[in-house]
Amino acid sequence: MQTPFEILGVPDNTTDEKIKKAYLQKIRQYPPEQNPEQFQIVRTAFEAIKTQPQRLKYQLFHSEVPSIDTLAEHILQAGTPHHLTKEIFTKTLLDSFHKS
Amino acid sequence: MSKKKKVPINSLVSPQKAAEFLAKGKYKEATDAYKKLLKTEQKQEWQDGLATAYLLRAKSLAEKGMFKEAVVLWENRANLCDDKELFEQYIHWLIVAGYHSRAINLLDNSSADLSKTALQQLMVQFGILFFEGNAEVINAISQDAPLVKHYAIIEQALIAYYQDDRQICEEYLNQIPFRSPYRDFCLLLKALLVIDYNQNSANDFLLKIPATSPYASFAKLILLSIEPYSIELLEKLASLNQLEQDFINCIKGWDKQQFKAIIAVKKAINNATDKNILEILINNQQAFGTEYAQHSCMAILPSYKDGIKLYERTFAVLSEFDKNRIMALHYEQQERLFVAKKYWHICVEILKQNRKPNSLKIALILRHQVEILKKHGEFLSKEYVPEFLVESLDFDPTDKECYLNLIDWYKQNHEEKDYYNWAEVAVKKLPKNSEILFVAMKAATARKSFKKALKYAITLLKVDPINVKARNIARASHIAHAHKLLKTGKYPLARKELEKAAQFEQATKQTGIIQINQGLLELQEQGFIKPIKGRLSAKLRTQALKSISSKQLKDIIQQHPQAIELLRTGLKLAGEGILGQFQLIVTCKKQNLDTTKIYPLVVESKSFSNKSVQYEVLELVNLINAYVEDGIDFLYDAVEQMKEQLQTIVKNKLAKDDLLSLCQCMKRLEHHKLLEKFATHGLKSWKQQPALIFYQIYGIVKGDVWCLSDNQLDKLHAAADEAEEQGDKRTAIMIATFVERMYGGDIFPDNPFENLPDEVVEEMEIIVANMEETQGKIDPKKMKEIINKLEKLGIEIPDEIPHK
Repeated sequence: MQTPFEILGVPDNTTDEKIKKAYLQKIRQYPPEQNPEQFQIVRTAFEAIKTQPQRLKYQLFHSEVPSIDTLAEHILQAGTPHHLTKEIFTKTLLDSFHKS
Repeated sequence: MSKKKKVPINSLVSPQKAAEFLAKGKYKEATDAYKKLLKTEQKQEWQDGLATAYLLRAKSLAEKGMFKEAVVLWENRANLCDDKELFEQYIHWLIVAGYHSRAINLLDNSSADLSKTALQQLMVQFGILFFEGNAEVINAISQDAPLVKHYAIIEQALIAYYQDDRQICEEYLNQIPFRSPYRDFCLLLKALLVIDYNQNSANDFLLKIPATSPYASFAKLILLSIEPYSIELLEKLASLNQLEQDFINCIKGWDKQQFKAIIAVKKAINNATDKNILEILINNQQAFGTEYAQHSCMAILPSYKDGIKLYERTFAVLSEFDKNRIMALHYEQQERLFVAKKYWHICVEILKQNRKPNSLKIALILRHQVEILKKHGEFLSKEYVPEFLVESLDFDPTDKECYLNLIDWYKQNHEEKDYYNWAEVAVKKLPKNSEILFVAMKAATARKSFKKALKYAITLLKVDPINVKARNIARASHIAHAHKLLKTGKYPLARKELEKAAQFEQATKQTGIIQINQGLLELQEQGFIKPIKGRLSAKLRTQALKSISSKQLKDIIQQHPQAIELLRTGLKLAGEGILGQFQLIVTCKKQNLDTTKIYPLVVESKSFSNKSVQYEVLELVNLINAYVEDGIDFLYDAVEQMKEQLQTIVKNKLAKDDLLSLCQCMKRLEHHKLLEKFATHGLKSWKQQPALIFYQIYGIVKGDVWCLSDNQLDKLHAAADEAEEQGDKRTAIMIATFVERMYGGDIFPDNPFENLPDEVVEEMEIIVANMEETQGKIDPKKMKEIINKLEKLGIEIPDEIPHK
């Protein structure tokens, strides 16, 4: 499971306003009628950290061990794509062809 | 040394054996066997066998990527047969084995032997060789062939792609005709163009590439970069070679550390302990991101405190506050709340050193302990819950939830003085908060401070104009004040109060209470009734009812027409049947008036119970429950006065759910007689109904668990089992809770410190935790102290205990 901060894509030291903005963005991305499960996850995350005392509470008492699946999901998240060079592209294409 | 005896060539192999090798897929052995057989005799059957063995072995080697060997075997077979079985495969093997000119020659000379599809397929394969810049192939193919002409466009598209010029790339790709040998390649490149921002489209492009296409493997590799997480995906990624990893790294924007972390995670998937997870995060912190790794490791420490050292070596030395916070959370997870409390206390003390910026943190820690105590340690909560909540308000005095919790705690624990006081404090602090106003209003009503209740209700109605409870309390407060005035004979003022109360009734939802009160006021003012002192016995009540003759009744009605009219209207609005009757009884009782004098005036004696309909039972139950909530204490008597009507309704067959609600209500009022009667009656219709069995027995033993006979206890156990089986958890729990009273209801059955005073338990738990933390090195002074305490309590300490 991701942390509420990760779900909303905000840093730990964020503000109420930024959290609200991130939440609204996310629910536009996952409207409840189209993606109810994801919407619920976003909603729960928002409810957990929407105010400063709630964030402080989360930081003080949160002790949920991240599951191995969480770790896997986190590590599989995309970064900023690199430039694909001709060399890598061609070599990989030919390698896959020879393996087929 | 003796010479080896010469064995005849075919002595070790039989045709059956050769055929068996072939059937079992042992192609090498089959080849050898047929060769040996053919040396003895050139039989067609054995030649065919050898040809088959060559072909199948060639296929099997090609599947393992041994294309050169496959080519040789196919050619061996071609020497034995004229047909060109797997010819297109053979050309494919030639291509991938690097024998390009042989492949091109064959294609030129034998195109007639190949189907159109096979030919196209081989063209696609040659097309791939163009990407390699294979001069042998490029020069061998006619410059007019689509393979060459289209490649020129593809090359331009690729240049644009490498330069990140998506639009130009797409324009070139659109020039490639549908039947081009580069069709599948176009799909690949289109997918790569959109993969960063539209994974669904990328997925659609890639899925259009057929599984038989030479580009299928490449498409599968690209698909891995957009596949959602699964263990299978992790396994596939972990098995990629370096080249494939580099390719995926580019598409996903990963660095080289990412695959190291993926492999570590994959390895731990079936053995994920807290320790493993901590180590994976620490060893791959670059891949996870230092902030994420540190944050996640911090969350692991309470359940794996041995990781603290590794954490500190990797990230930073933990502050004293954090160390104690981790220990507190650690013991909380183990439900060792006394020890957790000790660590939280240290945390609070640390924070108090710089109180102002840490006020909220302190308050949150104190409130957190309350939550934990409520969740796990009911026996501790009595002492600490109010203490922690009150203290937390010193640090954060505006927390609504905290006030509500505190007020509720005092209310639930019947500590009336603190309940009323804290409701007052809360409303002073948060005078416009509707929830606070609501509890303050309830508290004021409970302490019969009706003026205050009215004040809060009016404020609440300003904040929340449709709040029904506020309306009810405002109305009830005016009525209560009217009752006070009636006691001193201030009838006009009381009348005014009732008029004010009427303003809080909704025109469409009149309860009849106002009219009943107004009627009673008139009768009191006219001297027909007066409040009685003490209780009127049931016998006297019956006598009073019987003592009024019909002539007297008529006279009275004629003398007080307005009062009678008001009472009758009130009863009608209240529901006429049992509801009206009940309201009348309660209203009379509130003013200590004798109901029996009023009854005959407004109630047609014979038909009263018949007017009551079954649905009213549920409303009556709700009404009684609402009165219980308001703290009215004469409800047992009020119900007692209506028992005949209630019994008639029950006898006229009540729906099961309504009967169960009624039984539950009787249990709440501790009206054991009626409870037993209703349950017994219900059991006639719903035999063996677990809840009814319970209510019947509960009524018989008058709610005293110690009066249960063995037979009754057995019946209750059976009923609980039956309820469980029927999925009626509520009844099962209700029975269990009752029966458990017999066994004392131990919360911590394995608690070794059972029956010891709390302070000793607290101290002992802390000492045990200290011993664990210091691996047995306990402060001798402390040990002696606790031993002394135990001895004072009369607990015998064995001689083997050190420091004794």
